[in-house]
Amino acid sequence: MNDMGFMRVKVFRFDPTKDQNPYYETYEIPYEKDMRVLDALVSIREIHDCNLAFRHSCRRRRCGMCGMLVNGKAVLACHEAAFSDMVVEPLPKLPVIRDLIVDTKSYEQKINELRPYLERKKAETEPELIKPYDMLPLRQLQTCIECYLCMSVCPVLELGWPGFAGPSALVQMARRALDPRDLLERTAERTDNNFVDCVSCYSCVNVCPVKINVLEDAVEPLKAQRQKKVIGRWARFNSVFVELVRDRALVNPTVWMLKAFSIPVLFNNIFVGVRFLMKGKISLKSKNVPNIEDIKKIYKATEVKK
Amino acid sequence: MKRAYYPGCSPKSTTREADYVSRKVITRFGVELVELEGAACCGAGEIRSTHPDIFSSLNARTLAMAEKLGLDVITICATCQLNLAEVNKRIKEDQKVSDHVNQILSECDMKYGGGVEVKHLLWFLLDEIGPAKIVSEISRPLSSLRVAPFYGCHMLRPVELLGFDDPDSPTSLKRFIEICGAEAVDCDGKTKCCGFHNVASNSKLACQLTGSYLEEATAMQADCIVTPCPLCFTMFDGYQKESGKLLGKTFHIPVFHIAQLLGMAMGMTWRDLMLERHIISPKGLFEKLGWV
Amino acid sequence: MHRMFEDVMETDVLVIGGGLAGLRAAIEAHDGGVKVLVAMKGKLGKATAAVCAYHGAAVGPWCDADDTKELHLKDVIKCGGYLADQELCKIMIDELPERLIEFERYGLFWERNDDGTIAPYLGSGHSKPRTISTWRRQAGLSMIYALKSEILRRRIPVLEDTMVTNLLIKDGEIAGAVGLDIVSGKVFPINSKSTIIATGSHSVMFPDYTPPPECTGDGPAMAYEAGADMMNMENVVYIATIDHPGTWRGIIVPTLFKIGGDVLHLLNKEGERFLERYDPENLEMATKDVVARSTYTEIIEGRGGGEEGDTLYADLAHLDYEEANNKLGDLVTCMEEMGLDIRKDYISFRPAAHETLGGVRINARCESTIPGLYAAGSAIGAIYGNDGIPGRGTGHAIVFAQRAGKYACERARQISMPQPDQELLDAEFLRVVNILDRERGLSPGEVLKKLQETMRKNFWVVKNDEGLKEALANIIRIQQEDLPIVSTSSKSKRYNIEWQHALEVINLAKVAEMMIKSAMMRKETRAMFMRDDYPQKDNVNGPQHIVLRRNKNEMHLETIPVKLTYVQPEGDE
Repeated sequence: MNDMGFMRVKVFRFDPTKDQNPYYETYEIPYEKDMRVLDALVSIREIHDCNLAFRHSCRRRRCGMCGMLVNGKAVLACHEAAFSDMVVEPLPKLPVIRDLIVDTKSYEQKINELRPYLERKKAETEPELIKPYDMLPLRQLQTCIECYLCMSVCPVLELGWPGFAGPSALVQMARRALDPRDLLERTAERTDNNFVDCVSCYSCVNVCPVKINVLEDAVEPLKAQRQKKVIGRWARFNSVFVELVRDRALVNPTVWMLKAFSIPVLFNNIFVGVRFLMKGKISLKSKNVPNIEDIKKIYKATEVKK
Repeated sequence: MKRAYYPGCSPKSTTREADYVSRKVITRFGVELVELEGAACCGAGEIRSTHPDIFSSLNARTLAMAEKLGLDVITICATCQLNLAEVNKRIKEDQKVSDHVNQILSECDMKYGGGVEVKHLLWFLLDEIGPAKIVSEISRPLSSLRVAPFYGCHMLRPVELLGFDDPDSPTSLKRFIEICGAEAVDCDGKTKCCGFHNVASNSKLACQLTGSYLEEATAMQADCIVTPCPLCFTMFDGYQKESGKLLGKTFHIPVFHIAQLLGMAMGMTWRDLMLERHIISPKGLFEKLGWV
Repeated sequence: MHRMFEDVMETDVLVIGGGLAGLRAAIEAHDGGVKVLVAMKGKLGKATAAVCAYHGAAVGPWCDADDTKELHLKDVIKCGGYLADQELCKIMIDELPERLIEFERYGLFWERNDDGTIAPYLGSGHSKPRTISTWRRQAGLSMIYALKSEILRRRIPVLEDTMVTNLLIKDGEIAGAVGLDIVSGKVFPINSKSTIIATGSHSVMFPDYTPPPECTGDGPAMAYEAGADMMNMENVVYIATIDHPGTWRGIIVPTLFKIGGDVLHLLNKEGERFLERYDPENLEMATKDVVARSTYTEIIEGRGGGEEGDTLYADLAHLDYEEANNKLGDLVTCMEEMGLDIRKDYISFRPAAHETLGGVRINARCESTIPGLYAAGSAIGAIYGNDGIPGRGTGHAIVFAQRAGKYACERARQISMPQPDQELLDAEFLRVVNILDRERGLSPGEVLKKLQETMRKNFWVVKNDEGLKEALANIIRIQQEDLPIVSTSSKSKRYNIEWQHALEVINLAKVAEMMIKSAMMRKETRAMFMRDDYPQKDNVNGPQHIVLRRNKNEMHLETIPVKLTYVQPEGDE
């Protein structure tokens, strides 16, 4: 920002029908106190190029249309503060329609595959009596605006891992699967692929503009729900882990692998196992842990707590 | 200075080097460590999703043990740090959660009042020991060493629970590396995920994530990778060859836990650093540095 | 050279606009067993004004035992200055409870009390608590989400990024419309048996507005051109919004409901809670027109702060912070982003245009005066009068959308597919593509700015004849001199947003003309419609609707006395 109260903004430009390659254009615009990235884009349109293409609608984190990258960070343009020399680019890994507008069909498809509508019987009396407590898991999820910022930063989606639904799709799925009114066996009928491959990296949580804890409020409850019905490749490892903590306080990964006894997993890890063994990293001994009965008591107490 | 010490599970089995060297390094600064013997696993990436009450109670119990000693906790693993910080925050901020968890803890005559702070070794060193004091213990600055930092997700996100560093442009590891006298190599993937929590259910995915950073670090000509998390360490060291195979490449880039990097700068021996246990041997690196 | 129509689409019911009304109408028509097509200017479930709506209000099982639909009707009509179409209003009040409850079939969850019953609260202007909402007062977002999921379930086709530029007529009936696909630049006809206009309001003609930028009055402009009756055009609801930065100038500072038992305080630059002078009984919970009038007056009389003396202040310090954060989440977060803490700092605000209440005149079947054309939502000439009691926006959209869908479907089942006049089609095609072909003239943005400036200056909270005359002269000049030379800087057909803006500003100018002429005809001050040259109600003629329609190339206006069937003004109301 220079003394005259101006700032520079570098913007990604691309018209696939006219340009061979994308290019960047730097614009100088007046700086207004507390301005947002969207203000900067509107200013560029007014002063320099009325054809700069970007989406926006509500201007207040409700419609989710203005997702883009600012200095590499996925943000909503209507909410993110503007600063001088910022670089504005479209969301990554999606086909660019023009300038900052991308085609989000692939994300929408992922969501549509998970049947994004409630399947329910008509209530006997309307409105039904529903305790707020029963809908608590949905509360924060209800504020999702489907801006797809979480989809843009998910490393598993970035790798193109087949079948993985992605954070936003899993939020939309959780909004029905965790709804007591829904009749479908949503998690049971999907394949493991859809959610088990979440790596719990919290990238989605970090980027969500409406502060939804996608991992803990959507993905993990879905995994847990599935585990009750279907023993997929993850479920057994999970239950063995939980038992090991009860019995030994600490989890020895070798013991965990052997107890869960999945032939494909053991097979995949055989070379790693041999190398670990040769370096003395494998031991099946477990130390005597003081006060281990405490843990058993805790497990018992939580069983009763329903 | 006295602190409670919670090493977690992995440093007690496959990554004993992290436990051993961390303790050596901390006590060098005159800090007395009291290990929380009997504390259970923090739950890793498993327990919270299916047994949220067990997750909260086990971690609250660990914190209660520290509270009884009147000591704050040092962790040496990113996931332990996150899980303990999460339970700690929920108990401190929500009376209902505190009451619920303490009701469960009362079964083993324990109670947690929210009086403990949990800090990862990296933050403890930078914040409470301070760069000046650390440098004063360094006898062998790691100059000419190019070190690629890998934070590990659970050191950075979610920022509401951790908050020591900016999750998108963190600098703590860079500062740490520079305090040790080395050059920090700035890789874009330093804030990404190693995939450890999926290595059992989908080792291919985990190796792809690990391999992606190994590729970047190699391309940036880093001599080694340093990480504050023994789980990331397990991926980068233990699964380096697998990741290479998956991506059709050969990697040879040694990996260190932050305690080991500092230990190296403090002049600790090969044996003391337990480097024999590494799958990817740092021998070549030591020879390059002219050390024995 | 442009290729003439590459695609021709055909459907039974065409819904123009994919907001709260549009989607609800589409679902209703689809469930009636006909083919439906929705054309909208943005993305499904996103480009709507409703996403920011707070609540719905109706007399349902959640109300007090002594609350009645008659009372609700009375509140609405009184708030609307007795300009409501009372028959239609009664229909709205009668059907609203069911329309709101129905959303729970689509997955929405109205906030509940601990005993499982829906939890209402008091909205300003209501005599009893009947307003209901979802978590964090985001009823609009939840309603749109629920409707979107039902659209997806039924696989109703939605043309996104498509602007409908004009209606098509055959033998005096609406036979479809012409669409512009903004992504590809294709112009194509859509033949339809019934057409529902659900294009929302036209607040974009003011520089500060709360609805999204898509609200450019396309529906009313097209309906007018087709010869339909328009009503209530002179009415606009003004509301307090944050004053900066530009992006946030549409964020409402709501005095519509209490937060934790108390309402936020509005202060002038002297720190005075000025509503004590305008409505000492209700204070900030007064109806929108009183709040608008008072904020306007305070500023005009020099008690506004800020650099230009045009801002006032909202004080939230005395509210329960957790409650404020929950119910006014957007506001609190925006303040914090700007480094302000609502527990200590004031929020500066100014009046802005909230919703425009003029639009297509409809009957109980949502029919306009042209066969085949229906309307729903904010594109209708508001049947509740000239001010907005909380809940009327969402309520009025869903009740009449359900009716529009139903009756549009009925018509579609009875007639055969019309074929629009080829001449009209060709003319419209040329009208649309000519803009792209024009040599560099004025940019649509420049013309819009001029339009906004004159409307802001002369069509603001309080109007007068001199101002209205100036506005009219400006709008006529804009239409005659500026619009014919509006062009786009880029000739690319790929997401040429300027092209869309050029078409929109033509609509806005036409609608603005209708608004000004109607305002000139209303020589009184009544509820939200205020004039300083006629500061009293016209008690001689009583409440009158102002209706206008196109007569060849002229705008013909007339007044129709309001039928005070159910509720009559009391005293000097």
